[in-house]
Amino acid sequence: MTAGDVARRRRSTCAALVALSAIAACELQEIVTAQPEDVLVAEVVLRTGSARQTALLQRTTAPPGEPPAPGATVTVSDEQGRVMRFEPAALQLCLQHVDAITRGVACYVDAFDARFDIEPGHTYTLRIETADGRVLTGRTTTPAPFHVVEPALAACRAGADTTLTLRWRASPGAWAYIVEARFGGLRAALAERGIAIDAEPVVLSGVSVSAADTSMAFPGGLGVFSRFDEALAPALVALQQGLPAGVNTTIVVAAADRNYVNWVRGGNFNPSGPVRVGSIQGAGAGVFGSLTQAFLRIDSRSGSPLPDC
Amino acid sequence: MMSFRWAAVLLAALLCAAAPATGQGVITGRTLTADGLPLDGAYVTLRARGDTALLAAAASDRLGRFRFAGLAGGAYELRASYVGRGDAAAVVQLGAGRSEHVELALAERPVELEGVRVELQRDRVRFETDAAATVRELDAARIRRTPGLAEADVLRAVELLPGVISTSDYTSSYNVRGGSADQNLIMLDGLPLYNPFHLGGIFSVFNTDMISRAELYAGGFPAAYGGRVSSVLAIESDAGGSGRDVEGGVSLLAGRVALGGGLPRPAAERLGVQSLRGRVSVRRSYFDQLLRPFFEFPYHLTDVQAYGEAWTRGGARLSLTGYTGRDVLDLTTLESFPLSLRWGWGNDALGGRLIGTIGNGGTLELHAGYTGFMTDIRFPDYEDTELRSRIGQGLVRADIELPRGRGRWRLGGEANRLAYDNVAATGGTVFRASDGLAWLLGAYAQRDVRLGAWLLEGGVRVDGWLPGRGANSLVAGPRAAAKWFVRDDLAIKASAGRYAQFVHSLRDEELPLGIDIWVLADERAPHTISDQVQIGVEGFAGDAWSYGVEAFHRRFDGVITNNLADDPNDPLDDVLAGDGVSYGADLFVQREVGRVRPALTLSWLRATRTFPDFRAPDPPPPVTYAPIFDRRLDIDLLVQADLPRRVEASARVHVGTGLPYTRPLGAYTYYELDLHDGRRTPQAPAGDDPHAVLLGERNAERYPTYQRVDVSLRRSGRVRGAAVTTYVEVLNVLNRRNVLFYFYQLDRDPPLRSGISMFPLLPTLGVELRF
Repeated sequence: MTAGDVARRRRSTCAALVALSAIAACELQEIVTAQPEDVLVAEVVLRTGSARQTALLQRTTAPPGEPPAPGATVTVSDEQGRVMRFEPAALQLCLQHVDAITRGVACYVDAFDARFDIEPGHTYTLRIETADGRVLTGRTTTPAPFHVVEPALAACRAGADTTLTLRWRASPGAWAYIVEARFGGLRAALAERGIAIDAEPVVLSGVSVSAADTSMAFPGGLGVFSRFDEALAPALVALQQGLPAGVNTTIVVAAADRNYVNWVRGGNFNPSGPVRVGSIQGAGAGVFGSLTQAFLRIDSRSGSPLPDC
Repeated sequence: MMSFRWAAVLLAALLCAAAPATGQGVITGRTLTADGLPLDGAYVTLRARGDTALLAAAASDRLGRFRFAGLAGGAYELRASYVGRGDAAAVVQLGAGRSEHVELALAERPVELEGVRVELQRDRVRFETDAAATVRELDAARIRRTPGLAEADVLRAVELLPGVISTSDYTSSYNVRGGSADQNLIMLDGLPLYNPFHLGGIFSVFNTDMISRAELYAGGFPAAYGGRVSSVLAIESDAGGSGRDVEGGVSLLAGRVALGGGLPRPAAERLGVQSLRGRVSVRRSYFDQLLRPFFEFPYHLTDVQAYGEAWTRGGARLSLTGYTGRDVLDLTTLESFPLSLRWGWGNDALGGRLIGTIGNGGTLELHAGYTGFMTDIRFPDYEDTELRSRIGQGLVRADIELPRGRGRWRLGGEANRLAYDNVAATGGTVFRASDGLAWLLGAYAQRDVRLGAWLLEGGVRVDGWLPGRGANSLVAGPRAAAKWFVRDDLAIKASAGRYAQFVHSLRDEELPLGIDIWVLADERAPHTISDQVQIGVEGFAGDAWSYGVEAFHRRFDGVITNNLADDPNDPLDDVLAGDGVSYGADLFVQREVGRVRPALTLSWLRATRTFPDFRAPDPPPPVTYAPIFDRRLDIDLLVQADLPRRVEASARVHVGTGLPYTRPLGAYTYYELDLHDGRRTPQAPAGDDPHAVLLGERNAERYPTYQRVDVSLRRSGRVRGAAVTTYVEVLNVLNRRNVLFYFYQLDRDPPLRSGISMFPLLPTLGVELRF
């Protein structure tokens, strides 16, 4: 379950409520209200097997273009006392789209001369100090290592309209597994059936809740929180019948720790927007979470040289 | 704990001290219809012959019986009355220490608008016979005259009673004296209904045409009632008159019809009973059918309710109640909605009661039934998805009432089997799942006795809870009450008791609409224990006015809430246990007879809930906050008036201090992490602000004062032999914008606050028919 899935689900709930309200309710007049409190929000999610670790800082009161925390230092320490130092970087290294930014945001990446690999099953400590004296801290333990056992091969070929079971070994410490699949060629594959897709590649997510839930139907188990999405709904129904021919899929299976899961699934209802359960302590809010990842590829193109799944 | 000890001491004292009176006379009797059938609920007064002073009053019980004890020898005049019937009177010459029996037959006499007088009479009887309970009664006539939403609704009428508040216009759910909504026991003919609402709470499932009366026990309810800790709403069905009747109506919500009738006496006797009669009603919303030529309206509701009763030759009363209702939201044929789904929810209930006589004027009541609620969302395109919730309860119970001396014993026992099953699963994973079953075994004994100016009640209820998983529990709940009659029409009363509840709803009451998801107390959820104390004054002024004021204090240990940060690896941590406190006072003043009948209620409340704060890092500290139903002051003024030309007018003025809400402190952009490349993207449809919010102190802010004025006009007439009532209601006449939600747009410059209001000015109309 990704943050976007949760957001979409919550928006659907809110939309239904507002729609019901609109039957007999009226919008209240907009009035100017008090300024928001100045809160620094940090998002740091460590990922095993990743060549780059990133940290994102925002401030609730920073307008677009204004650095949220100029001069801030961001570090992650491991149990041996090694320190990973983050340094400011171009926003493109943290964000896929920088043209839709509505608040001041800063991107930090691990410095070339002060980095180390993030290992499964280890505990890391985050510390952020700002120039005005704010200190934010966090602590995460990456879920234990695991690997995918079905399909047995990290890259394989599936027959047309095949449904597979993805299965992996349990990762102690995980609160959930997030499976994200990136489908290449799906638009053309489904166009033959009269199903239109706006953009490629299509990225769909699924979730297995708890460390012990170590399987997922592929591709039908993906996109569960996108089923209300008008643009994707016909494609998702089609995927219930299996993976169409001509699709190349890369898949990330990520064991997520407590902090990441709490952040993306959110807290209690508030009409002003989604609420997330944070894991940052001190003079700010946000998440310091971790993901232990495994990768695989499934190809249904007829000419694929990969062995059968 | 103080109230518990106090109650236990009073109970012991009462049971020791209450010796039966000897050497004094007793008058017993029955009220009957003209054809000799017992008539329950008649108001019977006792006066010394030749004296106008009222000595005592009683309501005939469900077997039509009444009893006056502790009388000196002499001549007495008895008079019985009942709405829609003439009076009946008798003179009884009672010898010292003797017992006399009298039967009073009341002939039918069609009259209208007398329901309020019956309420007053019942209130008067309760005033004289109940020490503990804070009971308010609504009869069908009053329910109809109370402005509702689209059509009369008993739960909307309950909102006007003292101690009761509603958190929004959208819900007919209610809260009583700082209790949560799931702590209200709502019963139809003794059968609990777990989610008695349509359309997520906007309307109740009760068809007013089928209701005889409703009684709300807002506090101090008798030991006979178990299972909930905040209030009891007992709704009784109407079996109808002796002849055939057809009742129906059309509102902006639904069309409905109720058919009633009985077997001719010879036919009934061939079946072995003295009489057999009953009614059945059907109600259905019609927008889906009405709009079908233009577009698909995907929702409809249906209720079917039946009630029948028979009197045996031996004077026992046998009744049968059935209810089934469904809401259906069918989006399988709606092309404009991307996801094909069919969502159904509703209650089913079936039960029977047998009430007969035992011993010397005693009553035995046997009750058996089943009640269940289910909600189920089906997705035809996705076989991997299960979203459902079910709860069912089978029950058998026996209650005995034995008059003894100047009081009575009430004894009883019950066995309930409860089972629930909740599943939320999709995409091959189970997000939430829990199930369980349990036995609830209860027994109670209660004694009440009148000693001079004192009316004393003491009792104890013992509940045994045997869940399929988790430890068994035994809860002893002593209940004690004392009432001191300062004058014939003024009394001071105090009561205390311990109450237990073994079921919980997980519904978030901060959402104005929602469906209850029930769970049982077991290894994951504790049961609720509530110690309650109340003290008050009640009385009557003349023949028309009644008043009362009552202060209360309640503790709730073992309430639960959803743990939104639960560990998926721990199957037992998905709810959080906490506690609550409430205290306050209720006042009511009302005039129940006359052409103009005002009723004023004022409720003052302070309520808190304390739970571990799941938003905080481990270990979660406790956080205490005002729950959504903490309306500090709630004032309701209802004025009903009989106008010329058979027009009835009602106006309701409702003012309440603001309900609590949690204010966002700030907003930040809501990003989704792409696991493939580790970068993030704002998650929102184009044009939306993809933000999440940081919350301030929970429920520390208050919405503005709630104000609403509703008016209702009903005109009755006859058209071709049918009684026709047309009505027009206007809710929120002043078009006051009462806040439902605030939306804070903190990313705007300057920051803005907008929101959604509750009902604007909302006119409705309808027609009711009766043949």
